[in-house]
Amino acid sequence: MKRKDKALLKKEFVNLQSGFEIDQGKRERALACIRGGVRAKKINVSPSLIRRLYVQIKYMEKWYLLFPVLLSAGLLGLMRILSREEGWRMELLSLLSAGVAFTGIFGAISVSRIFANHMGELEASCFFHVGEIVAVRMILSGLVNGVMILVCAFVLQGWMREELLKVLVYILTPFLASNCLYFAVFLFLREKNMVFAFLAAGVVCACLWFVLLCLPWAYEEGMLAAWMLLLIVSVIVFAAEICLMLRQVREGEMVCLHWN
Amino acid sequence: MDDRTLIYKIQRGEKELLNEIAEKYYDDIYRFCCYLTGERWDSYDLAQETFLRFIQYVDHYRYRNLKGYLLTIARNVCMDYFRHGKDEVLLEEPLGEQERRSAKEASQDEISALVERQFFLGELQKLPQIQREALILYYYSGMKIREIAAITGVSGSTVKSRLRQGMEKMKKGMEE
Repeated sequence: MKRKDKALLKKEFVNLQSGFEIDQGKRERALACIRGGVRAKKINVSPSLIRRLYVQIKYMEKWYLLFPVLLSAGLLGLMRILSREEGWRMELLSLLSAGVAFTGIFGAISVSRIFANHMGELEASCFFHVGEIVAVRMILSGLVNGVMILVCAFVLQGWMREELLKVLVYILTPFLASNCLYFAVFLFLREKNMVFAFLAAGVVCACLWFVLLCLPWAYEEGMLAAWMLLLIVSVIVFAAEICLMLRQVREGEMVCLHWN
Repeated sequence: MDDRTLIYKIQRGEKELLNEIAEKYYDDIYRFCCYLTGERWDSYDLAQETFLRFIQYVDHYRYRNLKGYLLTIARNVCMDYFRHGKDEVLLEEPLGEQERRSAKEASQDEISALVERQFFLGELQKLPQIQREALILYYYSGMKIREIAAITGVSGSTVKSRLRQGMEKMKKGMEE
């Protein structure tokens, strides 16, 4: 369609509007009726976003944030003792990677608990937005885990005299790859007792990473590219799982899931 | 006060501000209903119904584009009107009561402008409803393609094709 025709049509609409008189009496009558509707209306005042966040943080179970901190502190303590022994170097990294991989289950449990025993339905009916609750828990859990991983990597690189970035890749990869499995358990498993499923997945991941990373070639210089690739794949899979979870939340599928 | 602030305050309990929204958008919604249904008199009620529905759901409204939201409600109200009340209108009476009164006192130029407007309105009413609403939302309400797609619940390419077809028919009708 030509631009000239579009401009012509636009002009016609403007002309139409200018000649379109509104009957003021009828308009006033309609507005009076609307005013009546406004008078009869009872506004259900919903709390502000800040207030909702405050209430969420106040009432959420703090154990799921505290567990990773305690576990990471325990791991660092254990490593401090082991680092005094001669010959323990890469094994420390394997131990930390396995430990960090296990700590991821607390984040997954914290998110999945939102939907336990119809809590999602209940919270959604009390002004909370289920997507909002999930986002808050994930952000908090991600922040705690992120800080713990950074602290561990920083301490470890001092003991090992390795680059911080390299140590971070060695720790982050098992953590993210394991989280992919935990979220897959959360998204696709419909068990009565999901805590055991998460714990089982956590133990399997921790053992698998520990055994795998004790292999002599795992931390060789040439393997760094493979580590990076695995990290990128894990990030993509994890992002896809979060998108899938948010879609299930939006469509209400998640709210219908419940477990003890 | 902008729309976002109005909605924020209304949802905090200042319900009287709903009247301000009605005052601000009543004319636009009325004209939209009028162009869509072709019924000048029923459109006062349709615009009123639009605001009453908005008042009903305002507690749960998450602010994005207030005018777009009101137009979406107005469109649904008009659809209900077609569904329950009557079939699509082809052409309203050529001149409204007010126009008839002013035509008696108008000059030759004003009369020809009036006839031209009525002719344009008539051509608009001849279009299928889906093309008519796309044209009205785009050219009259100044909505973007993606906004029209959201209001009408179709894809952007469908809106573009409806606009193109509607334009062609209007052009043809006006040339004849």
